[in-house]
Amino acid sequence: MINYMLLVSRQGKVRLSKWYTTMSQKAKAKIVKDVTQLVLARRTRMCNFLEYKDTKVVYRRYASLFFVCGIGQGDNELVVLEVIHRYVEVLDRYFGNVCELDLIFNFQKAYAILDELIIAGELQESSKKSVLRVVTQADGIEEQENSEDTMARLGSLGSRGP
Amino acid sequence: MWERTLQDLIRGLRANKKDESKFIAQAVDEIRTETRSKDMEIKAAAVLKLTYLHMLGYDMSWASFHVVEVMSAPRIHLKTIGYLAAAQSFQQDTDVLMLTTNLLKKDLGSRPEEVAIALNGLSHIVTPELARDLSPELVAMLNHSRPHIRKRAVLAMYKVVTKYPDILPSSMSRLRDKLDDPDPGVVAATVNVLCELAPQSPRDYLPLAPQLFHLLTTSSNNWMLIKIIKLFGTLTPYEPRLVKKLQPPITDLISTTSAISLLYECVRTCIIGGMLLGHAGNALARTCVTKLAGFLQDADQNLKYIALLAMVKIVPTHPELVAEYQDMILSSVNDEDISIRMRALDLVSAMVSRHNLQPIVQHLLSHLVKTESVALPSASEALSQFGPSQDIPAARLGGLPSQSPAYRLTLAQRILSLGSQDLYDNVTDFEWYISVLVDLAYVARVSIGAEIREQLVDITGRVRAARRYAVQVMAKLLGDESFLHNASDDGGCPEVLWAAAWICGEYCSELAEPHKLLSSLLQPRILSLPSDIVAVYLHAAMKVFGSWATELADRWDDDDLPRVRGVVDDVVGRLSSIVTHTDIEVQERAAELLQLFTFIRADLSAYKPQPRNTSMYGESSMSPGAEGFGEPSSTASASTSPASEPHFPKSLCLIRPLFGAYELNAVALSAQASLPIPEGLDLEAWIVPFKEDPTPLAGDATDEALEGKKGKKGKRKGGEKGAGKSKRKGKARARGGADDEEDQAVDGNGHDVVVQPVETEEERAERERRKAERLERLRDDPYYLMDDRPPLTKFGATDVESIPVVKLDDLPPLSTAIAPTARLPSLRSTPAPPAQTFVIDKTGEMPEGAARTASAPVSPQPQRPGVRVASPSPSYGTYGNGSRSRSATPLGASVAAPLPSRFPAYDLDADEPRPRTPEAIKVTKVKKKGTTGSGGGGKEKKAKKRTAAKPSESESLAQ
Repeated sequence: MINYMLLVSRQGKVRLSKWYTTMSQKAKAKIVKDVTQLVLARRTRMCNFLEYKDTKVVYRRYASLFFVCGIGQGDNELVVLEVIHRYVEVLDRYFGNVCELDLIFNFQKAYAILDELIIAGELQESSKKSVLRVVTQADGIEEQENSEDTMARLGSLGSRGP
Repeated sequence: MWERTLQDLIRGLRANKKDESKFIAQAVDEIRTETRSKDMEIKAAAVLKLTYLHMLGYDMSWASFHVVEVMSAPRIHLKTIGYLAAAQSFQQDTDVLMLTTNLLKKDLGSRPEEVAIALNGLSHIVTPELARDLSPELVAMLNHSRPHIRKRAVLAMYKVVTKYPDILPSSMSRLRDKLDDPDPGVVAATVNVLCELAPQSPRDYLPLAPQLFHLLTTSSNNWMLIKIIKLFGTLTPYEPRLVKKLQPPITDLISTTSAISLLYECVRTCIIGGMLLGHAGNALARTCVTKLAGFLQDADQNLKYIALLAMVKIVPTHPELVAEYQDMILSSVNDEDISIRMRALDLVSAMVSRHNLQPIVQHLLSHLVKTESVALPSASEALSQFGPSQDIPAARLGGLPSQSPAYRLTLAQRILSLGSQDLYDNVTDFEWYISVLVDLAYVARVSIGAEIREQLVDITGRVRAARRYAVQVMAKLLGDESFLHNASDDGGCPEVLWAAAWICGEYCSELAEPHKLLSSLLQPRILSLPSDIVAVYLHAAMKVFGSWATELADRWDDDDLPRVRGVVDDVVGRLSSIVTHTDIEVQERAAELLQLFTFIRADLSAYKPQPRNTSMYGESSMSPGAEGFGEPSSTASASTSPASEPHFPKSLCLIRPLFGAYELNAVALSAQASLPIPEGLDLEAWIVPFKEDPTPLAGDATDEALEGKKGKKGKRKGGEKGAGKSKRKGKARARGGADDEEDQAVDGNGHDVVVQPVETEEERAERERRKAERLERLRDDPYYLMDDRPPLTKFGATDVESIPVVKLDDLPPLSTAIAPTARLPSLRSTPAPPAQTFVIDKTGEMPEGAARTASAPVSPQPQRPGVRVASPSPSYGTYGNGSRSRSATPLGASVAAPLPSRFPAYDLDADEPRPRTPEAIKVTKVKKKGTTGSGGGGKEKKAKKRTAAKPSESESLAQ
């Protein structure tokens, strides 16, 4: 299973961090720091795998962002690369030519999409289409709720929509 | 709306790069007020901003209650924010988590959208309590009407099971049903979960094999196939019949699939699952290795990595298949990429054999050499005779990975472990290997010295044929000024000098001109070395001189006298500066050495050349032939017997016999065990039989002795009574009359208050009273220090509680303490027979006393940290001319006893244990240092960067 997924910019800034294992804040911070350092030191044309303590780190760079996953010793590195790629593809479809800034300003969306793809460190949905469908549905609900909300505000502040 | 939105916050952060902390402090203040807002929208927005800041590393634990509030928002998009914040920030010990139980329950029973969010959130924040309380809902959720809820429920189930394993048995059947779910997504999720759970108790999952096998043969979902195959990899070791069943479909997959990740998983399962054995397995193994070799040549570095990783696992069963690709693998060791290098190193170490050890080690060594060839001329010089391969990739690499100390250390350790594998089984040429070790000491530049030292000493001890060469090389090393100079630097390996000094000292008979070494051994520069090494240097100097002087004495010529005097004066001069060394060990040795040499000097100056003494008389008493290693008796008699006045200064033979009496040999692994236990020694037995004590009437030998002891003691304490009371004591016991105060004292002291049925109530009271009295008396007796509390008077439990341990009387009585502590009082009342105590002490001081046998060369040396393979070094064993057989040698007393008789002239030798060279335990620190990377150059472009979403090299999974 995937232990964590990090999105790190080339400057070492964390753009997204998702943890599928329970760990103290301190331990997480240490891993983020160490793994970021390791990954940023890699050159192009090197393989996408690293070893960090007794875990493996699978990373891939897309433009200015590194997508980093921590996995266990027995896990299949290639599949994790696939998962990362799948995530990027969905992001790309959703935002339409995704870029780092999209992810910065819509970080909650990036999390939401990731949640549709992976739960508890396991891939839950491999179909890009259905992930996108769920995410856009959620957007629809939000829009609907917001408009209801505005109506409610305009009407009486006391009663809220369902 | 005047509140800052998330976008505003992010823009503000980017605009205030210089004063970020101030900006954030201000923002957090705003958030603090916003979270108290009654408007859920504002609250949610504040929590979202906090979540963003949390990602940047700021604390948001203070807001966890507000997070729960947002989680309970009725609107789904706000709820999503709440759950996101919870998933990101809640820890297992977050106190508001217990408030979420009902919230989650409610959400799980709500609309599908909310259920989805709740399931997702639960998978993050689940604690054992939540898992326990929510598991009924979750299990029910497994049968939800919507497949995407079932799918989530299955995955959330995995988290819940890890937190609360008790739920597993009851939910297993439901999970199992999900393998037959009509929705393929649910099936895949279930396989995922099973794949994670199975390794904990694979047997429990064997019944699932038919279903899984069906899926394996029918499904075309590669994501799931990978997991199924991985799951089978876990199961096959527990059900060998699966192997036969799985071989056809897996072989089929390997040869047909285009997805490399699936192929890789198949290969790995074949290996882990033991499918490569047998005839059909061999064919499969060949297919696997061929596929992997294809990866090795691939331009994609990932495939190379994977191939190396998988090959490591095949090597143990099919080394010959992998060996075909040795060149390819060796070239991977040169890869620029550290990940690939490490994997290649692993593989290389796994495939090493007698035939390829030399090229492989030479190759690895060249990695260490190249960047150093300028800085350390001696290294390349030393290498030039052995390492023609050193020029291979030096320039091309630029040495980035080779420079990292962590990598160098790994490489050096790898070389050492390759050589020492199975006790140097793969080494065919030890002279070569010794030179490799020396080269390593020169070029490693990491602290690997302790390991090298172990091996050098070990090899010189074990391999007789290599000794001469080792001594030569070591003597050269000792004379190398630059090595000594660099030794104190970081990674200078000074420990190698320890080995060099020890080897030269111990085997100095192999040296042509040993006295020349003295100046290297005692040069002032050595004082910069760690003190344990200086101590060995001093010792080696003494041995070298001893050996040289004895040789000189054999062919004494009075013309030698000035030369010897010169050397001795020189040594004395050098020693006088070391005598003031701050380390006590060095100081002591130097002082001893100085005294010996002062004595020798005095003897030399007193010596008058006596031309007439160079007659046959001297020759006969000192036949040079008898002056062998380990044959000190002749020198002994020569230098001590006054009758045969030798023709050379007697003191020349002073030192040698101190060291040369025995040869040091590796001790067999079973040496200690094969020593017969001396008659009557039973370390398990209680020295004072605890139970037997009350019935001394039986009066066997031990009891008699004990009684005697007790009587004696009693006399000492009580003062007036006679010693021969043991009989009476017994009688007193037997009749139950408790007049005899002394007897009572002994009884009480022994704590043997096992209830005598004859003892009446008042007798006991009387006895207790006397005991208390006596204890009162003994309070100040130094021998009874441990027992300054009067024991409790209850029987049965008394024994436990009356033991010194009970000093901790605030603690509840320790029932486990009975066995060990019950012995203590008896120890006190009757010390062990002196002879036996002596034996134990003796063994403590003297290391293994087992004699060498050619058939048992393994020594059970404790491993030092950092040495992977046990590298036993010769311990200071006694080896008396091979005449004393090991099996007949009892430990201790009898070892010590025969020595003086065997070497009457040098009984000093037996009494005084060989001066032990101090153990130099160096903990090798493995610095885990990541390759330091710069932050990326800081050229962040403000412009949007397009993300290349479709990298060309990614292979895609057929869906």
